[in-house]
Amino acid sequence: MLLNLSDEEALALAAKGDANAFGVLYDRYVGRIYNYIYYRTGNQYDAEDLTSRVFIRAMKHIPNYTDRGVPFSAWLYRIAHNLVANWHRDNSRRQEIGLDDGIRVNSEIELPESALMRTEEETALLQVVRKLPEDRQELLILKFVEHLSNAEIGKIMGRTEGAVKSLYHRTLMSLREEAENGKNGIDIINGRSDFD
Amino acid sequence: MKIKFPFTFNNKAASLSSLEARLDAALRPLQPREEFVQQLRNQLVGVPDRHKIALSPEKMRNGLLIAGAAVSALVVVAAGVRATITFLGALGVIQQVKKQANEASPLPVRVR
Repeated sequence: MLLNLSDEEALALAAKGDANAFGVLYDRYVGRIYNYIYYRTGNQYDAEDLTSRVFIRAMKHIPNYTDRGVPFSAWLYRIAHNLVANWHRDNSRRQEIGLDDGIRVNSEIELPESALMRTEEETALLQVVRKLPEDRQELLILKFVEHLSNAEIGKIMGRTEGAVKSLYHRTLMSLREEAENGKNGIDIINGRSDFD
Repeated sequence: MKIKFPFTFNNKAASLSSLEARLDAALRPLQPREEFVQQLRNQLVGVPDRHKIALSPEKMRNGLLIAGAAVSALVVVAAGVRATITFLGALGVIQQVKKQANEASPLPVRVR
């Protein structure tokens, strides 16, 4: 049964062109990749678009996949990370053009229907998180949304477990500092936070 | 446009765990739209062939084995029940015949 295959076994079959084996991998990871991208982009439409691109790219390149000791999930997250980085770069360009033309860019997070019941505090906290440096955002998403261990996060982010732990602690400390100061805010227009 | 941090902490010691709890609540996993997931799956893999899955040799063999075992078990139970009923019935008939025979013609008493 394909469903009982490990990631490595399914990957080997998918690399040989077995579409059903790729389907198994897709079923396992589509939710996780979607969540990762959703929390990095903040809106459902771009999350769906980028999730599609991640899996299309993965399927295209899977015959060339080489096992370098990192799990398949890490490879998918790496593709997602690169696409999100490109998306942010393109978005910031568009934003610059838009502002020059006098068009205000909506900085609110668009939520899918399943997330409409968020409190104001949660929405504001998400906006704060989205202004963190990329690696810290990635860490928080992998930890709280995906519930991955520090070791698993380390494999995805290409860091040691100790480095992940340390980065997590620094992230929490900077967020706490921000909360304690209270008066500080985040400049959304310029995309800068006080703890960058 | 500035956004104020959404909360402040009164107790420094508890603040980190409180912050973690708030992050946990805000960063909860979401379900992508089912329609989107299915459409992308179809685009990547194609429509799942349910007949193929249902008629895979392994599934078919397992199904036949289970069905065969169930039918055999039923036959054994039915045969057992039938044998018991027959035995009890036969026992009852014999006893009834003996009783009737005793009542109709009691054994003659020899008188010398």
